[in-house]
Amino acid sequence: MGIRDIFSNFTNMDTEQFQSFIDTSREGSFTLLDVRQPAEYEGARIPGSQLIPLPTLNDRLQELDPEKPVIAY
Amino acid sequence: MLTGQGFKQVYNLKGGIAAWQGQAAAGPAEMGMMLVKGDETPQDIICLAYGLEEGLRKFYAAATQMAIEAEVTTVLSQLAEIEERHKQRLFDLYKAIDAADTTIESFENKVNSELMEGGFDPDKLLEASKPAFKNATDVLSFAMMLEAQGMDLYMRYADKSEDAQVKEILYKMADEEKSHLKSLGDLFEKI
Repeated sequence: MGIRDIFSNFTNMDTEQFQSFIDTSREGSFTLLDVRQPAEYEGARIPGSQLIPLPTLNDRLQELDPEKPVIAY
Repeated sequence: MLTGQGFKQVYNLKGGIAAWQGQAAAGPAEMGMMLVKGDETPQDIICLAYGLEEGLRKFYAAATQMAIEAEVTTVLSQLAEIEERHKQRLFDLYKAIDAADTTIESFENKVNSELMEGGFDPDKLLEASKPAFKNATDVLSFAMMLEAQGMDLYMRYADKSEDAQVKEILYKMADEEKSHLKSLGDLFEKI
């Protein structure tokens, strides 16, 4: 199972759209989700990201607010 | 999967982290988290944030003393002033939540400023960063790293906190760090 399966029906957001989105959105009004492995998260992440590695995502969905936009990488 | 679980808007960041041009944060998710248990009051969290901001201000002020170039000194002084204003806003917020007649002295007595924004020890950090401070660009890059770490830490605190008002305060702090990052980025473009 890859990221495309997890985020079925996702919309792509390019970096320009993303930058504009975070510049104009209040922190807490959206979730920035890092689905990589902990070592990758620790090495470098977009500030404010929440780490939920892809293999554990299914079991941890309740940690996320479905009402907020989720941007995953 | 997320959309099937009721998530209304789900986006995939095209190109992932590799495409991100902004400042990155680093370190384990638990870094700096020993300061927060999750059951803090809004007053507690304001005191904590004030301590972190004061730590960062001290760091910038101390770094000013060792900078050689006038250009670098100017930038560091500006950064210290920004943190001072940040502290003032936190104190105003504390007064609004707690008691309007709180004095700065009694407030600061409650504040622990030993650990700085981002969960670092200011003295150790200053010592470790000395070799990197050769010009204003180095200093600004370093400051951006600190602000990114601070923003990331506030968001991790927000995630851990159970009180809605505390979460809001932390989101606001993270927003301010994000705005500092943007200002630093603009300054970086100018020098």
